Amino acid sequence: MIEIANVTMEFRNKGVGGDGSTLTALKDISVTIPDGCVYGFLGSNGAGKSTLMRLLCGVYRLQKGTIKVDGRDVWNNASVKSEMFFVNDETVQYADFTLEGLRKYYRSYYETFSDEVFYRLAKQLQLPLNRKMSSFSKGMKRQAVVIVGLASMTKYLVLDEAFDGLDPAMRKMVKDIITDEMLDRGATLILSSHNIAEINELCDRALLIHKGELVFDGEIDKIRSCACKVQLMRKDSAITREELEKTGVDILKYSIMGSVAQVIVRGAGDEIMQKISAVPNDVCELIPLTLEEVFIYELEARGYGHEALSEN
Amino acid sequence: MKRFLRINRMALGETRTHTKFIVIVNILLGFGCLLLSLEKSYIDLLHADWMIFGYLLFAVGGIIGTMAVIGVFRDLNSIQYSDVQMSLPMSSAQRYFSKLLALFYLHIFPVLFWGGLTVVIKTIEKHNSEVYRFFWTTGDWDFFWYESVDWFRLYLCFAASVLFLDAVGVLCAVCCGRRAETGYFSYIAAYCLSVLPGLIWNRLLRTWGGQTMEAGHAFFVWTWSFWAKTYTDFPTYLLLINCGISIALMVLMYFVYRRRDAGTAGRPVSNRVFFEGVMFAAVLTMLSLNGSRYGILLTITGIAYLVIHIITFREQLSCRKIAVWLGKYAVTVLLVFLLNFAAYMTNGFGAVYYIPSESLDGAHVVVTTNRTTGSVVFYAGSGLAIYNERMEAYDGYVAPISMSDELKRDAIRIVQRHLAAQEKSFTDFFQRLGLIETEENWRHDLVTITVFQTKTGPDQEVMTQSLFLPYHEINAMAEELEDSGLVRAMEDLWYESYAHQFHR
Repeated sequence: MIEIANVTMEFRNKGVGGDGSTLTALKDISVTIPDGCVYGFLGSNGAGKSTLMRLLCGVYRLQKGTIKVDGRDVWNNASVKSEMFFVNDETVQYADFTLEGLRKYYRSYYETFSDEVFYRLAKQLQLPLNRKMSSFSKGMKRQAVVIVGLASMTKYLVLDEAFDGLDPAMRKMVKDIITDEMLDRGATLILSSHNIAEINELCDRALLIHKGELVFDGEIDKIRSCACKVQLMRKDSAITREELEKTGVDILKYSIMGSVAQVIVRGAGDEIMQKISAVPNDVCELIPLTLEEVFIYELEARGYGHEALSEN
Repeated sequence: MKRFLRINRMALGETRTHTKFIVIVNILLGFGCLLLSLEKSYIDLLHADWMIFGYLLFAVGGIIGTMAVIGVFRDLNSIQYSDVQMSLPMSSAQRYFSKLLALFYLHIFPVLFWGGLTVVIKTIEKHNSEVYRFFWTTGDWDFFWYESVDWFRLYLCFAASVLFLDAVGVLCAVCCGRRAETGYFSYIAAYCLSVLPGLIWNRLLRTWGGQTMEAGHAFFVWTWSFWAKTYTDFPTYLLLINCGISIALMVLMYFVYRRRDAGTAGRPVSNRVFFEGVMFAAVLTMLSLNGSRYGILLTITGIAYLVIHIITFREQLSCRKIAVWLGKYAVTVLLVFLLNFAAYMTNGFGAVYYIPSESLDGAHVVVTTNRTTGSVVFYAGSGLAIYNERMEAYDGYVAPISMSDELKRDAIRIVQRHLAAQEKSFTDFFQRLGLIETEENWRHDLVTITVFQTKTGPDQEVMTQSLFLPYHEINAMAEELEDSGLVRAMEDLWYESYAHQFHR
């Protein structure tokens, strides 16, 4: 189990050639990742997902807060790191390797490395073993690193934008391979993606970070049910936002088209319906949200997208 | 042992990722070995001095070690490599020492191997030569021993040079966060470390203390040994110390390395103390090169100083920033001048009082004056001989007085005190720095003390000290020496010579 408690990370642009400014990448993040789950990191660009992953894997030194992996600190701890494999969002660092060379490289570090798994998966994905990876396509490089990660047989596999560059067919195949391999041995998979449908499909749990702050975390089903869409209609006059707010509901988004009002409301469906029923209406319909919609509305409520538009 | 095997496994894993470098360095060193070891045959065959190319290939083989350092420490240069290497199951100590071991396999071991092979081949070749066979049969073991030590010294020279460059490379890699900076800072730092001790001796101690003797070998104790090797009598033990310092530095840099995480990867320089230290050392080195070319040196150094600051700057450039850097450069130059001025005021930080530590028994001490008038310089003769037991062999003078070591030192101290007591002024400082040239330059006389070591022959000069002294000071000095009875034997000759000058 990974316990992240009150983690704050700042990048200080000081020292030689720096202007002394500070960028807060993560603000007081607290999350628990249980064993054996598939955990998705969601967030806008530059939200802090990769930073959190790097902290998890001991690439960055922790500044504030704690990260415990099975009760142990991760920074500078070889035994904890031997249970983790991190695949970042780039592949340029593997350009000089052949796949066989990559196997030998990681085999030097991971005592649990399985040649059997490696060769089996390489064969399954039809990857050439003795060709320089610089000649691989981006998707092939991704596949190569993922199979090395799986063959390392670690308890935790951390994938940053792992499916980036894969075509839909290969994406499905790699996803199947990962889930089969990881779930068979009860390992924990942590992955980040901009593709919310992918997270929705693969993960049991997820978190959403925006500008370094945790928006929500938990089981996907619960996240989906933490907000819902309500469509309301009143024949004589349109239902206003103020009327709805008076009932005590937490409105993320309000829009009106003719006499039909559509609101995105934070909270459980039953509770929302109970509160909204206080507003006189002719039709009231509750529509569950997809994870993607929750993601979009939560970020919109925080001004994401609007900022970019107003800047442009 | 288990820990070492684990680190070794990691080091081999790292080494395997640098196959191109392994091939390149072994080609360079292999051919270097071939040219050096088969030098005699090549000369006979091709009538060319191929040995120099052998040395050159070994030198290049050593210099490219910086590439190996950059490759091995790539986790500090790029966030992508940091992601890979820092997430691997290693503590920072295991990671660092596995990298040092990988550096050994990649670069240090090939130099030691090819260097060792060269020495072995040369030794066998020499021992098979007719000259050697002659000494072998006559039992002149000293000759054999001398040659063996010489070759061992050459081997150590190879080892010391590669360790020095790699140690400086590691220092720069650990303090920089980008490949380019690690590369050029390595060469700047290696150059400064190699020449600066000698330059400091020359500029601060020799110039302002009046010492004209060469800097001791100890000044080149930690240096690129190909440089130090130009001193044919460079002691073997100093080469060993050179190797030891390099190894110690590489080990100690762990304490800086362990503080780094991926956050500083990609930053040109991650350690400000290192950056400012190298920049100051570079300015001090450049401004110590040649005092008479200060204008050119100030300009070239200033441009380089500015360019490095621009390259390492990570934000939007502005005129204000450039002005700040120029101001910083001005302050650095001022510090260098202040250092020189302090050396001037203290007569080379007390170097003016330097007397050879070894016994002066059997040595003779000569004090000479050179009178200068206008642009014409004429020699006034060896006016004052404090003690010259062997002067008859040296200058035709007879000096029958035997003087004790202590008395000779007293005599030298009197002269040195007079040298140190002369009036100081900014004009005099800038004149002697070569920045101002006026008629004042000719107002002083040159006083030289020379101590000749006579134990192995009168030509063995162990100390020479030259300083300018006002004319009246020479008189005072001569009187004091006379009053103390230290020049009694030569007084007639002295006065005759000196009076001759006065009456001209």
